[in-house]
Amino acid sequence: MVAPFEGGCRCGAVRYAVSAEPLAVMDCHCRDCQHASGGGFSTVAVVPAPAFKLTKGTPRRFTVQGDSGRDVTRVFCGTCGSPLFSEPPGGTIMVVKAGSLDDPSWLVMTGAIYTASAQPWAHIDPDKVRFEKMPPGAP
Amino acid sequence: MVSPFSGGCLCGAVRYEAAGEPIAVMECHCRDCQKAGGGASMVGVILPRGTFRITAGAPKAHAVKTDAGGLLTRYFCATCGSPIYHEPDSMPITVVKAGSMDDPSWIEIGAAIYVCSALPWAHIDHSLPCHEKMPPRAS
Repeated sequence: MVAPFEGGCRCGAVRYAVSAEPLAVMDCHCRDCQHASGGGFSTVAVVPAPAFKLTKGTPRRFTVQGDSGRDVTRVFCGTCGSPLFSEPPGGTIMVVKAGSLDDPSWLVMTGAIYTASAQPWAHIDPDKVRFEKMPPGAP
Repeated sequence: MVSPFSGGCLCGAVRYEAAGEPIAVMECHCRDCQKAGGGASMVGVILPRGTFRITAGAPKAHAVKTDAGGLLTRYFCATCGSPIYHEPDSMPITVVKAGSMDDPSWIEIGAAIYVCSALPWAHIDHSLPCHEKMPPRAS
């Protein structure tokens, strides 16, 4: 793993820096992540919230009630639309979109969540940990 | 394939209808699609231009130069950030993001493109045609 690392949106208006290693790297197959990514699932690096810092720009925020019944705030660039990160309830972690990293190549997948709503054509690695919804104990 | 089909963004501000039979469904691993979706790849349902229409709201446009030198305009919801579709200026097609469809379950991915920039941890189905960049006839 490579910390610290940086990332941002496609047009460069929003930039962030992360000073800690990811706690986990997950594919999320929930329907909201399908909409927010435009694909079959989102791939996210879960990092400790205090290690995450916005370094440039003011992204747009959209808050929606997640499957858990609690609010999830999805953050994206208002200029180019790139999804950047989301803030789950509790404030302890930040969920950074893998594709927004300057270099996502070093990420190591942990597993998949919300496989209950996975599309039939979405790949789920049978050798990695899988949860039908959230992992137990997640915020 | 099932057409017509409908879809929209996560918040519901933008809605669309697609009347045309999809030409193909492709998973794109280019760096721009990684940024635009926040993941490792983008699943695009390719329609003849003119068979797709916005029925509610007005998505925001962001144009980028492609590696072939043309322009690609990506459309997303300015309220919730969901990527919805994109259109290249070089071909008469509209590429709808699979995750934005009301029911993406029936699509069948036919090929992987831009595998030259695929992330090392991305899943690529090698039983399908895999193109280093664009498929030959599309470039």
